[in-house]
Amino acid sequence: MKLGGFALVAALVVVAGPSVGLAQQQPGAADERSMGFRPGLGDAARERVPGGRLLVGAYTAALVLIGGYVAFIARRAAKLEEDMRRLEDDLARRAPKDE
Amino acid sequence: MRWMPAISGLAFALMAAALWTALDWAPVAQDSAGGLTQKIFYFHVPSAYVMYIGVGACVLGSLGYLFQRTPGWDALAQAGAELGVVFASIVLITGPLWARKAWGAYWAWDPRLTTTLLGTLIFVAYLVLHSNAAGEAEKKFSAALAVMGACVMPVIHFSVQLWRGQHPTVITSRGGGLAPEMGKTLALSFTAFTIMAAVLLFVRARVALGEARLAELRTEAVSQGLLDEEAV
Repeated sequence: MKLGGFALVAALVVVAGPSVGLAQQQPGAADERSMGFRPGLGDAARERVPGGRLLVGAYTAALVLIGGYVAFIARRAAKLEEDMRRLEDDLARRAPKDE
Repeated sequence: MRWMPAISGLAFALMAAALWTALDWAPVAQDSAGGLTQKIFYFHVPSAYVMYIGVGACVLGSLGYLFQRTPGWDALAQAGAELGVVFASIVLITGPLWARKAWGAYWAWDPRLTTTLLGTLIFVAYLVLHSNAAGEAEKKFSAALAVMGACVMPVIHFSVQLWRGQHPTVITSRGGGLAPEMGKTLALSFTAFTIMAAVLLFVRARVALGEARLAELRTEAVSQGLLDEEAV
């Protein structure tokens, strides 16, 4: 019953959330935002804001986050393997005592 | 699992190729799009797409857990939430760096930016709650939070079509489109990110499931008197 009630509320929120947005849709909003990317002259020397540094910063941040997450998973996997081995050792040490 | 090193190697090679293609091969865009910083696009958009994959996996795992209460579903939900938060963080860092050049400000309270931040915070809350879950009740509660929190995802996706703001639409049906070289670069990035996301999701879910099984084994060993309680 609880789960059914929860599922009903969740379904209502899923349907109602975007519906409210659709009801308030402003005509032409998507067209106004429409933008195409085309090759430009890209004269970095006359840029007031240093695009190169921002670009390097963005890619560095992305790679650090991805690398960090890979390292986090690798550390957890290594710890799991070690804990599993320790449990096996503990059980093996205990087994002869019981016999 | 035998094929995992090959898939991981492929993901790494494709990521390196995507990086080189984005930074070197793809042309620099017009100044109104941010000039050189427009190249952030090739990691920014696929990261948003991986965020959706992560949240989708989290919702699937959470619904599975709510109905079946098995650790496999819970592990999938946890892995999906982590993947979603990591890549949402990339979106939220790279976007403002591009915006600084294209819009003149790091942040604008644009509907897409605001809803993306909100969605990220919801899944951070899920991870905090889940990591402190001592029993089934807390896990059920965190699963419910994930399902409810995912309701913001369609709002993020459609916000650029629903409301006015600064975030552009480029590759949607009503977007302005891309030059051919830019389209190929983006396609390569999407391929690399998809394979990498699948590898990360699979490996993280396996590790989470292994941790859950280890905890179960320890508890069972203690209950049968095979282990001392302090070993758990």
